Amino acid sequence: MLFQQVLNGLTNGSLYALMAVGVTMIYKSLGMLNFAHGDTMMIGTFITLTFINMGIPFYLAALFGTVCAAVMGFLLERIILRKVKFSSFVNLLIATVGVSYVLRNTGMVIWGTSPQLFPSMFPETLIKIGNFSITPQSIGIILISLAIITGLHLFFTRVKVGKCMQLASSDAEGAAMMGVNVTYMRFLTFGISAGLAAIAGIMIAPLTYARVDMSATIGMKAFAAAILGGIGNLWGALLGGVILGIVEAVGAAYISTAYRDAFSFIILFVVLFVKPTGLLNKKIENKL
Amino acid sequence: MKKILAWGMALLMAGTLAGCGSSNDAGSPAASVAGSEAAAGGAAASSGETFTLGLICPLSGSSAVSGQILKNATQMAVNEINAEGGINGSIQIVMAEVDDEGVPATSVTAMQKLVEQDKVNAVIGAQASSCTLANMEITKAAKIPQITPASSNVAVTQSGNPYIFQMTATDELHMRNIMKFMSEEKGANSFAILYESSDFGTGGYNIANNVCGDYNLTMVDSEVYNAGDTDFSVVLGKMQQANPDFFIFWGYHTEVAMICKQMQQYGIEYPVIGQGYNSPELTNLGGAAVEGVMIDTAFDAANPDEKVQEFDKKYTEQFGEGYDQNAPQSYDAVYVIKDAVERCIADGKDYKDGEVLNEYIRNTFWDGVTGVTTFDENGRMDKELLIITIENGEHKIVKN
Amino acid sequence: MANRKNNQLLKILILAAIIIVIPILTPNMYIMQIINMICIYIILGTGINVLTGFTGQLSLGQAAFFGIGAYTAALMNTRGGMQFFLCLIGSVLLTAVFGVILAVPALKVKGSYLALLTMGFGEIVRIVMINWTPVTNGTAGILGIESPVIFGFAFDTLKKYYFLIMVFVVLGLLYQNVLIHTRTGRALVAVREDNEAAELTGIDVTRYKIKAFVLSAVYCGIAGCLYAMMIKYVSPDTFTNNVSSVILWTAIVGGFGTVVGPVLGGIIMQVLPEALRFLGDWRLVVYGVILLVVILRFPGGLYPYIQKFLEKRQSKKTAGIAAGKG
Repeated sequence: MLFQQVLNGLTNGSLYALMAVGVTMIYKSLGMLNFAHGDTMMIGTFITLTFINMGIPFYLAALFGTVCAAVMGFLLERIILRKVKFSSFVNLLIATVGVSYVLRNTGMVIWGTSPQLFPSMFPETLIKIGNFSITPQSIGIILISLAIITGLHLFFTRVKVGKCMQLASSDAEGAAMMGVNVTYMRFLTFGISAGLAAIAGIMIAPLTYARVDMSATIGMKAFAAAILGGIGNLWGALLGGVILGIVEAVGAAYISTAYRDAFSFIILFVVLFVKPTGLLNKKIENKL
Repeated sequence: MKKILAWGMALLMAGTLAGCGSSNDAGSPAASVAGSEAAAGGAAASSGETFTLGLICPLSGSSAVSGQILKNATQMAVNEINAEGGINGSIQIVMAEVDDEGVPATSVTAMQKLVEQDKVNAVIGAQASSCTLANMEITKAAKIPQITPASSNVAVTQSGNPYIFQMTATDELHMRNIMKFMSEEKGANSFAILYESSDFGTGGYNIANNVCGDYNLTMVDSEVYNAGDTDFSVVLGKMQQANPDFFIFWGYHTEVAMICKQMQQYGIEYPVIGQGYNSPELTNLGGAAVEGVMIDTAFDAANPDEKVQEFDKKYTEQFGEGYDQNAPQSYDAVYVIKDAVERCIADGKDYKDGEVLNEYIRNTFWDGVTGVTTFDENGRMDKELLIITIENGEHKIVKN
Repeated sequence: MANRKNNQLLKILILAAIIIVIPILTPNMYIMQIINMICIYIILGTGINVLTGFTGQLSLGQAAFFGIGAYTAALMNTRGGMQFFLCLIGSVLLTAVFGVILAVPALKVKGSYLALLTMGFGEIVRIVMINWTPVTNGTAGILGIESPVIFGFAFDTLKKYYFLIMVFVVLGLLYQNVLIHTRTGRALVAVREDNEAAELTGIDVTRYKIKAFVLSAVYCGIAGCLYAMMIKYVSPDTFTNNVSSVILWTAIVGGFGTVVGPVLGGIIMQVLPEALRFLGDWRLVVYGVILLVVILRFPGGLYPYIQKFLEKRQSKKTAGIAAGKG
């Protein structure tokens, strides 16, 4: 039982991690949490589903869906966030809450409120090892998430554009002085973050069905994971996600299944109270 | 200055609402009457009298699909009756519908609108038990008969409210049927129950606990899940450890489909029976995993009964999509009201008097699509239930 | 001087007249219900205005206090048979306590973190409401709450209830007004503008922040008690994250940091979704878009813009008179 739960926790945790990376990127760049992140994931997932239902092969549909989500991320930055004055932080946050609301309700109108089956990219057959069973899905999710995060790390440290993005996020003025187009970098950040969310959604939907209220719980857990691991820190997002996933799974098994969703909030509370910078960060970087 | 401005605006808003409120009232009946008169082909001479039937159900939000089905079936019944001239051959039914979003507070406001603005003579609704429990206070105070075709919580008819009727089998009825079947025909001795944390699921759990002794069944394990949960490995594992003779599921199709999938995934094999998940979506979402699952239900299209088949044909022709048991129940609810009004007129009484109409509804004996409908003194309906199983994706009756 | 006083008196009389006339003009209960809900949201909006508008502490968990207030009143009435005033006191006390409970961790964080913290608080409270069945009756909610009876007078119709709610609305707004002009009010604004600077001028930031949290919690608690006794039924799905958002928007759309803002906001947030019913399915989407546009175009809330507009007209008038005379 324990091992099974830890494995489940790892699987869910990898998805939280992927979402947390998107959250953390935007936080680093903008200094605030994007409350529309979860709904971006949802829209990306549903667009992919629509393409699949039109007969387009899975991977191509997934690609289109991810690209559409990225475009939405770009639009979000350009249309909404640029208009809001940077100094009215509250308005910025509320704007993302508003966008989240509009996205969710638009999703309800277009795709309806009933959950829909989402095909999995992995075979369904179980792999049995002694007493335990593992789905190819679990392994796939963990490996893919790990690969993406590692890839991002390399992108941010080796590739020029990535390095510029990092610079623009941590020190906007310095970057500007070095000739980096800070606005463009922010623009890219949003797009990539949205694309990541879509990928996470595509991987989680086969497990949970595609539903327009996907963002509700996963969204907040992504925030909790990002903060737990240390906001602004890529590996922090991974660590936070994994820890959250495992604590949740084990807690549900041994403490209470009904309060399962409460664990992430409790963790959030504890972290914010004890060490708001998170596990891997040294000092708090709250810009606004 | 500022305050006057603010309150002036308040007045303006109230005035606007009043304005659009009354114009709404004039708007909808006219539209509906025009529609149904067209349907009647102008054949039967309309006496000009109309019966306003209120419909309150979720048309947006998470239960919108179920609510839409309820609305479709009600509309179908109303159209049929109007096409033949209306109630008693001459009274056209005007439908006033309102969306309660499945939220109790909204349901109360919505019911206010039906009672105050649309001046309904009877109401069909709501769907969610929590909504019905909240809004039935209003029909009670206004003395307007209300039939809920979908809310199955026992509290609805235990509250002492004389104006509410429940046209859906209660959890107790379902549970007794299930337990009788499993203990007598399948020789079971123990069970484990998995239920949703909502009032629907908890109701099932409470009943199971109370009545299992009557059938010599022991509850060896009970587990709960929240709507929207996606991982049932823990609860399934615990139920498996308790090793009962069968599982009882009390929840909705979305989660039950997933639970069955995970049962298959983890190789957990037990007979499954329960209530609440009889929907075409179950096989859509569950696929092969729901083969062999049993459901206790009041209505199923697999029933060879003539009336059932006719309803099934009519509904699928008009609306295409699948439907759940709310459809035949609301369809029958309309006919129950029609029948009550006709008996009332035959006795020379005023059907527009809510108190009078209510008593006529209470004395109903109507043989409809869902079988024979009668109400007890609490407004609860008694009915015969079916047990069906899923074989090759199709429903098959196991027990009548 | 006498002129000014007369003016004030006149304004108050006109206001009182409008307030009394509203229920008489209301054609039916449906609209009365909406008006009563508007009033409840005005109280909620005023509460969050203290916390977020004046003190700058963003809270996305106000629905939790609303719910605690409502459930307290519900339980005290249905299980303890207590009447209005006692239930009210119960709601106030309990929400005040929870206000402190939230304030303590909230002191350490700000900005997005604070928003998330308060959101998490809201969710935890809601999950407890759903699962602590022996007390809260879980998702079934609590039925059969009685109308308030004060000194033998029963507020059992919506119109009568309107006056009860209005008493609290007026009291709440008056208190706000007073608060702004006192030292406490100025201290709160100082905290909002710059924590450190405030500390330097001797303001005990911690104390004032806690005060703000408690005050906003109590406002929501009172609104909750009034709500429970009006709808006569409470259930967990009434106190969701969504409602917290609506409460926040009530204050933002109307005008942050102003007294009248929440009044305007309350009206708009309740009337708009009803008025948009003709849009059918797209109703809520359009609603959200309208709200977004308002926030983007009028960042401080609508009221400050209306104020400015009126002032411009006022100054044009006086300029005109002066020019005419000269």
